[in-house]
Amino acid sequence: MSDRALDGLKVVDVTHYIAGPYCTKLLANFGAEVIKVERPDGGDPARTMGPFLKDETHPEKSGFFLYLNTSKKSITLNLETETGVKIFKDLVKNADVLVENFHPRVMPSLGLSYETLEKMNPRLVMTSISNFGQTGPYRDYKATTLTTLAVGGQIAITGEENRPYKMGGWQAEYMAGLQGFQATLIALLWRGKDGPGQHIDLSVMDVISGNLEGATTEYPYVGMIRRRKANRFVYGHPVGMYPCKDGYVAVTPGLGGMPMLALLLEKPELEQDPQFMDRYWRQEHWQEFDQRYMHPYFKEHEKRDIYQRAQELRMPFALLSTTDELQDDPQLKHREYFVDIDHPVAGKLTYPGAPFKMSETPWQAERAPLLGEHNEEVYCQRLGYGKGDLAKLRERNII
Amino acid sequence: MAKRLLEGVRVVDLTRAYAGPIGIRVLADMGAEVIKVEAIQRIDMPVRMISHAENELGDQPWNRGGYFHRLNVNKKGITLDLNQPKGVEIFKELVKISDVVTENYSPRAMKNFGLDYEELKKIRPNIIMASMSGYGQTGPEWNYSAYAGNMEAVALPALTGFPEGMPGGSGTGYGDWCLGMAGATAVLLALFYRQRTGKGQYVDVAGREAVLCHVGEAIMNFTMNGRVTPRMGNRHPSMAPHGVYRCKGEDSWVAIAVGSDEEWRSLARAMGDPAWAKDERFSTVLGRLKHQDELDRLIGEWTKERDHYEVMHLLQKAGVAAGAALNPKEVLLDPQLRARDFFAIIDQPLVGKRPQPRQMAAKFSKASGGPLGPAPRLGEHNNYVLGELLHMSKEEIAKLEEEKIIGTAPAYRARGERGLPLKIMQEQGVIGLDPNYLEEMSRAFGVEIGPPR
Repeated sequence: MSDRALDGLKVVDVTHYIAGPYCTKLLANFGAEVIKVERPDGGDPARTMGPFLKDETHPEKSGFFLYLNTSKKSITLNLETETGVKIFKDLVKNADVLVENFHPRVMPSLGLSYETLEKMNPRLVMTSISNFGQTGPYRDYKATTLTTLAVGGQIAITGEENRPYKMGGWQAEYMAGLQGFQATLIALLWRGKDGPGQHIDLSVMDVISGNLEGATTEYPYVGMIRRRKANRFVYGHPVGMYPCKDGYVAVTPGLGGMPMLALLLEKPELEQDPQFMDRYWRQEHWQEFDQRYMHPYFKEHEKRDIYQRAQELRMPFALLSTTDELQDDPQLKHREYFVDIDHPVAGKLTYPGAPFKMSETPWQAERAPLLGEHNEEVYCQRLGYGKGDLAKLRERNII
Repeated sequence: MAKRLLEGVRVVDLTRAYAGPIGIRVLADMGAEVIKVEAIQRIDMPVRMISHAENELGDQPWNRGGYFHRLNVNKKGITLDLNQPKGVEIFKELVKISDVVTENYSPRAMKNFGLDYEELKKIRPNIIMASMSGYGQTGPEWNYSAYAGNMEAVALPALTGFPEGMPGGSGTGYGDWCLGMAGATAVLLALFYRQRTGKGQYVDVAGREAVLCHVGEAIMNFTMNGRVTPRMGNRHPSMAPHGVYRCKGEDSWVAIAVGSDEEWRSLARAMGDPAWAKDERFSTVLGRLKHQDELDRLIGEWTKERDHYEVMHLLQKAGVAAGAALNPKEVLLDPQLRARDFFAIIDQPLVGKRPQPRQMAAKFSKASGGPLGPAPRLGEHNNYVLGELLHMSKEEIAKLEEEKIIGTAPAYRARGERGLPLKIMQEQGVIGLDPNYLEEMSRAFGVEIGPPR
């Protein structure tokens, strides 16, 4: 049995949906004990988000929930009651970390601000993830993944020339969850053995604005306002997605790679072609370049063939994979990236695996919890409630 | 308690280009001492030569590239030729007094230098080493290279873009961000484990895997139901209207996302209760989803008469999620980011003060990473690292420079270096150009931005 990096770390997790839960998933999968506090009526709203197993809308069959909540324990608790808040404080009193992703007004309105919690647990690291942070003119603005990507600056520079688009899926939330995890680790490192905890205030918008590549530097250095170039690259050509016979490859000749591209195109004489070799000509006449050199060849060949031959020529081409192809990807198979996890309701399914491989303290995922599955373990064994007490709390809708 | 969050942590950083450096910036921003190692025979290209200040190469163009500055804020920089035994020897001396080594060479390069984890462990048993690559250190594609955001191709394009168009790119090197951030995360975890147990370890980070972790629900859709999630443009499986609408101006847009019927009614009210909004077809979410094309067209008619910030504020006041799609200039000027002190003013040698984004998007209540210093000039900290940290004499250092093991100017210069073809890029419509950028930035940040005038 390998060591767990976060062995012994106690986390109280009152997050919901995606950003917060992804942060606590990382904590849990690296060995922290994560107690996920869910509402008694339905639990984390992510339990209602598809895709569902076999399209059955069921709180234990949401693919989102199953993936985001591996290795966590689940208890139910109604924080809108005085008793619920008191029980919550009992849990937090002995915790190392508390993670939440409510709107900034929520925790203070429940009597659970950092200032209050710090008094009863000065070692507590409280990580608050919110759309715009705890302060600022947009603090109370409503947001979804689409609107934060817009205001964070990603949408204006991504997409077709006349139609911007967002990154697919929920990248803003995953990015924020990852940075929340980093921030939590930083505060824990700083705290060390005897030091105090602190409050971490993470803004999803800030995460997005920090992921705009060179765009936020081009303006103050050169007065350039980057625009969309579909999937081409501002600084050179050809860099981008090209259609092949059976799909797409992402093309980059790489530094000094144009002679290699000539070889790939089975036209070594192109190395003497002044237009082919001139990066400024290519950038100016990119459409002509594509029509003349790229499209005719690529459309006649299969994507894997182009990809492999390009890589053999040391050009960093990538394969545009679709999710059905990933399971058979030879590199991912070798890396054992996908993992199978069994679940009492959803059964055995294949899940995405480790974000990286650590030699001493590898990532490990256990299944997601059923709603309230650990009520008895936490309330009775840990907090000392009797079984009868538990029944009463249930009657009063506290758990 | 230490004043800086990661005070006392020393990182020897061999990463270059985009992915590694942006992740390591998190460590640097948080107060770790990051010593970036280049070589005069192999400087961090092409990034050192992208986005020169005022698009002028100047006397030391490799020190004037904004792209490099953005990625390497607050790091120290030395040069060491690892192809010479003396360079490797010095590197090992540096590892002896450091906590972390990071690299993104192609796998086996470090072994060829004699600097793989097994060797480094002999020098410093609790060393933490992180190797970042596109594909991983082993496997049938171990020596495949990944560059310029290609790593995202494993998952993102299949989900990004309009159903009837081409699969899309992030436009922002998302795969690189994921790889670098995964690397930084791994280092932090390893540091935490070491704080508790005294043990170091080796981390193998593959960019493709870092990206795949961010599309979990799409992977589950396939493994659960055998379904490939289609591209949805700006739409949402269960919300409508949900899209990006054109506003007044040359290339200005706003994102609007309506979840509930109540939000729909709020939107209608905010738009002045137009007759078309009363249409029964739009009164339920199912109806709005079904008639989305028409809905989008009608909303677009309304937004195109208005400024995008105006639409955002108006709709937010009405309780509707709306976000102006800010272009890079607007991001730099945005009041929310200003209130968050998101852009730090970096006093960068040779180019003056410039705003750069912070790389850790969180504020900590009890400590910080400290003020952010500039990105390093080539070999700028050779004397500090070799002289102060490694106690080498001035004569020894001078000899190293003679032998070209260290230096402060690149050994090779490419022919025909020039600035960016800005006019052509503007004509092609891929960029806008604002000749008053220095005045705009100075006014916005309340300090003279750019070269001293």
